[in-house]
Amino acid sequence: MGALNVLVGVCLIYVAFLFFVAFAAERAAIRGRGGWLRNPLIYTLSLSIYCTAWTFYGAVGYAARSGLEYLTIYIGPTLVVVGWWWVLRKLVRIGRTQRITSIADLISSRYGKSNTLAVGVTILAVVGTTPYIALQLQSVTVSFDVFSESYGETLTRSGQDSNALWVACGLALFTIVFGTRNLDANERHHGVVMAIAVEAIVKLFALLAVGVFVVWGVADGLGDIYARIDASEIGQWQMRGDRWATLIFLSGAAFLCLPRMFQVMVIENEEEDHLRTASWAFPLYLMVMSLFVVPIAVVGLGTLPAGSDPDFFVLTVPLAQGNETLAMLSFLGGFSSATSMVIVAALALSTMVSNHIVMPIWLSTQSGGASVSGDVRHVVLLARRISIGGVVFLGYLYFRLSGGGTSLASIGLISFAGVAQFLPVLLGGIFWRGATRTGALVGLTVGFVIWAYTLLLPSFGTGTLIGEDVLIEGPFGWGWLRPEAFFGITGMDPLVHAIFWSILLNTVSFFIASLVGFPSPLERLQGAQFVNVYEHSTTPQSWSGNLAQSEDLMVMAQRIMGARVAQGLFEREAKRQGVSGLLPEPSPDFLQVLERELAGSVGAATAHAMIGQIVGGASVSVEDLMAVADETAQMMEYSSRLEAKSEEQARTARQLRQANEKLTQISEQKDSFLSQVSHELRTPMTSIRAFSEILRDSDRLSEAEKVKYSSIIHDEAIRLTRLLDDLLDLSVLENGQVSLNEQTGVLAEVLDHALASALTGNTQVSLQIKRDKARERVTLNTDLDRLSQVFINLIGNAQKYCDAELPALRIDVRRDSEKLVVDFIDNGSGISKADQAVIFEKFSRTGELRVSGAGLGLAICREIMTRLDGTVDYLPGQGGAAFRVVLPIQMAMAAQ
Amino acid sequence: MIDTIRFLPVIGAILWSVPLLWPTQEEAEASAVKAISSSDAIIYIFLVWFGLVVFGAWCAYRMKQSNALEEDKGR
Repeated sequence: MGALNVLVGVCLIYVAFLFFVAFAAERAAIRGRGGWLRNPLIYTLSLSIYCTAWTFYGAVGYAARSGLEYLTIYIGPTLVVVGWWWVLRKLVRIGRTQRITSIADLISSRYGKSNTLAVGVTILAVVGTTPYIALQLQSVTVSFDVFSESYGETLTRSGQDSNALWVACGLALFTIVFGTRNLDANERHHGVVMAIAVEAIVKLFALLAVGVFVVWGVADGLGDIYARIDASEIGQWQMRGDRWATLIFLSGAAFLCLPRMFQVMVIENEEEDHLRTASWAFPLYLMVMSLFVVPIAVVGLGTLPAGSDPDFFVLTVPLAQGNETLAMLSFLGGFSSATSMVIVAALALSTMVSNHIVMPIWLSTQSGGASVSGDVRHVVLLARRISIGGVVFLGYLYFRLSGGGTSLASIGLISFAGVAQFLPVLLGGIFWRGATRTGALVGLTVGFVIWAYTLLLPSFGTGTLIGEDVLIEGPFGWGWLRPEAFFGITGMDPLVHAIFWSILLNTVSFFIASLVGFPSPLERLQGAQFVNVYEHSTTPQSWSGNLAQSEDLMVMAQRIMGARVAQGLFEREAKRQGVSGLLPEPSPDFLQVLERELAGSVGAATAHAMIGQIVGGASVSVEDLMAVADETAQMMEYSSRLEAKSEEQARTARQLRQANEKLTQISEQKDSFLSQVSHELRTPMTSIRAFSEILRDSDRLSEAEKVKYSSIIHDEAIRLTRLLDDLLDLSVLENGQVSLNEQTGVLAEVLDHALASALTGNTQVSLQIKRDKARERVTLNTDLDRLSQVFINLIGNAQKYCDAELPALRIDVRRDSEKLVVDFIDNGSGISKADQAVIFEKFSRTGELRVSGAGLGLAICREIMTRLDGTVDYLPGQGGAAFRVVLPIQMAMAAQ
Repeated sequence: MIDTIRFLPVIGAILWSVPLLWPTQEEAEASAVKAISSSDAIIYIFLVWFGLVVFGAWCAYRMKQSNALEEDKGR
């Protein structure tokens, strides 16, 4: 048991090490020190999840059974990667420009953002991958078994199951921790990628070590190995030509279509240029991986007793030779290959499941549609986490149900053949503009039905899911439909037969249905985008978003991307459009950008549907179609130049219109300013005059009356003084004559002080304040009195204007890299869009004048903040009225 | 250069389809030809592989060079 404990210990240390590596990589990436994470070699190594436990253990078993056939599994991907210029480069480019999150997303996005297609692809991918995950779990438990047997202990079946369960739980945990940190599935998972890169090195090293040990330790070098190979039962070329070609094709196709490969190859790709390195480094990796397979197989066949399982020669040969350290290393290699595959597969599938199945259902059950406020990110993240658990658990379940039998070994190829059915639709989508959604649906369905009928069902054994009579005589006695001999063509290898017919009929029906059908405008647009991805780098406009309310879009975007990111995006876009404030106009351009950003989080189909809910359906304009139809370079260039020009004009017009509106407003304001000032001055004056006359003229006033009248005069005089003070303050600020009195203090104290002064003396409304004191511990070096004046004003406004039954004010403090942001958000009904434009002007008061005030407060605030090098803005889309105060960071230094 | 990269997989595919011409064990016995031994097959397949890797690396290197050149010209 001692040695077994050592094995468990080593395993745990290794797992802890992986967690550490992933954690360190994440931290480095967050701190911006992740330059080395973007190394093309890391990318290449992460591709090696192609080599699963099926490679690590299975290849040797495969070689021992069928000679050199195992090489086809690595030759196919080699050809695909060497030919990166043809397909991979295009896939990566499309993945980046369209912010694709998975292979289902790619296919659905290409065929008119169809969610039906996405759901179909997702389900098929899950069906195709589950047995493969089971295979990995099995390999870990069985290899553990092999070890324990060599120490004279046999694990019970329940022991195996619990092992598998532990492994499954650990893997799910790892994937959840490092795979669902960010919502944006399009962002890179540095931790995961780094961990699988490390695992890639471990498995390569382990297999090489065993290989070297076998060639130079057990045998006497290369010459001896050659002699042994030729003398063994696999000593002669026994490969059938049809299998050789079909398997190369199959593995190449699967390499492109496997969800996990798509994940590391396209989605985790950092730079297109990395493909260039991978184009030779990955074939090298594959070559080295398969180099020692035959020697290990031959030595295993020769030295181990007959009947030992060739699938675990990698372990049993070193064990039989008494080299336990090597066996342990080899165990770690197998463990690495199994775990990295499960992690990435779970990650890829969970993105697909949550984006294409859970989110659409969740959205349709939410009655309010996409524009209700509230954070939806936790729903997406939760969906993704549960999906990860679900996918891994499915694998475990399959492992339990299949009894971990030998039938699993053949499942690798069946799984490959299943996902290879995506190939015609995938390639057709990126190379042929005529391909349509109907064609894709028909092709996929036909392919999968044939695959299931000819390969999957028979694989469970005759008589279980498919009767013996069907196998021999065909269904209903139709001989030409026999699962292993379509159209009466017998003598083909069953695998070759299945792949040949499924891919052929899949392609043909895809092609015919595409030709017969007619693509919708959106499909055409997307088709042109995908096929000509190198020419169009931007998406043509497809939203006619004039009806859309930017504020609704903001609310929705905040729910999905998080308030911070969404506000950043809106602000950037507003700046690009030349509009002041935080809300851009809902121009088609902006909607396009927004959709693509959202697609990075929830997938293209869902993002499209959500924006559609708010904007009211996308329309494709004639110009868009023309842009697609006119291929010639000059036309494109001409139209793009025109577009740029009209863009510029639109921008100028927008700015002019805004300026004009502002001028008109300012002129009106000047008039109203004068009348306001005279009015504001006159009212107190009138009462002062009246009461002073009474005091002067009447002699029979009681003492109490005298006190009363003179205090009225006093109060009015104070009001006048305050008004004049405000006016003076404003004019001093505006003329820039103010001198700042810089002090050092803590933000929390400034806020305390502001709250105390704003809330005292007003007892009829009790405003509830929500603060996070820990975040307010920021040291400021600025004019604290002025800053406090701004805060007092904003808090006072909330108190005055918040019309909620239980008024509450939330003060959010946040530090960015270069600025300090303080948000004041109340729960009232907010400020209407028309008023938002003028509240910062002098004497502007919103709504009915139910509260006193000259309407100078916000104007003063804005001037003060300008003097302090900061800003104060209205923040739309927060539920209530919200103001954002931004201070530059050099004035605000974090407290140590 | 781009054309070389494009044709590399084609060359690889052609070279790796040579084994289609080899007689299998049964065929060899039937027609009394000497069958190809596994070690020879391994050497052939891995030589092709190695060639592809080296050639691919060379192409990638050349491409980087020519890209850098173009960028220099562009400046």
